[in-house]
Amino acid sequence: MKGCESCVVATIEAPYQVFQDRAFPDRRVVYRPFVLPRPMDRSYLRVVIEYKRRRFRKAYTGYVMTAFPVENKRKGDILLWSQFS
Amino acid sequence: MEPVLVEMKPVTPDMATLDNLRTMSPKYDARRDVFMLRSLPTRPATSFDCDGQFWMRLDVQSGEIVGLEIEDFQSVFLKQHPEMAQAWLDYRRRRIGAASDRTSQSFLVILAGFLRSFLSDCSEQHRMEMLPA
Repeated sequence: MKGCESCVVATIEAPYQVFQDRAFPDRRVVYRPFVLPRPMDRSYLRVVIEYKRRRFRKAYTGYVMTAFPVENKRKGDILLWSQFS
Repeated sequence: MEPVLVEMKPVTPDMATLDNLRTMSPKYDARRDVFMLRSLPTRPATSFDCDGQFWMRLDVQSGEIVGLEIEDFQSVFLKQHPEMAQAWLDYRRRRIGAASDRTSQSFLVILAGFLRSFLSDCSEQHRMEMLPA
């Protein structure tokens, strides 16, 4: 994913679907298709974000844990929001 | 200029290349709790979810299996599959000793066997619907 940081930003800013991680309540999983360069241009980009509450900020801060191209969504995650619903 | 139509074909795993996993080197990222098998040199790959248990890394063009990634390995996966937990414990204990290559090879044989039986039981997963290009 080196050099594809802008694709990760685009996915977080305008996701196709947002899921709740099946095992960790503080994690969200976002998907967006067609953002990656060739040869992964037909895959979805999957970004896992973990939210942590910072003591002095009084707000949650999200951290990107991992991002990689996928062909299908992970079974078991809970759909929270979809662009077309 | 006429528009060019490109057929959208999903990448599916080529199960004949499952034994590729035996030749790969295992790596565990304790900070992220992710277990990985990667082939060298690295090449463009996409991931395919297998029944919510692990990601299979596939060659973008051919679907050849080029790696494996198991998220939440110790916290979720090993608890769901205690037969692999025992093999993993032995691997971690013996890896410290001199015969680390042999132990690693044995662990990969067990893992490949587990994956083969798991994948034969696992129903085919529907691909996420694609948006129009």
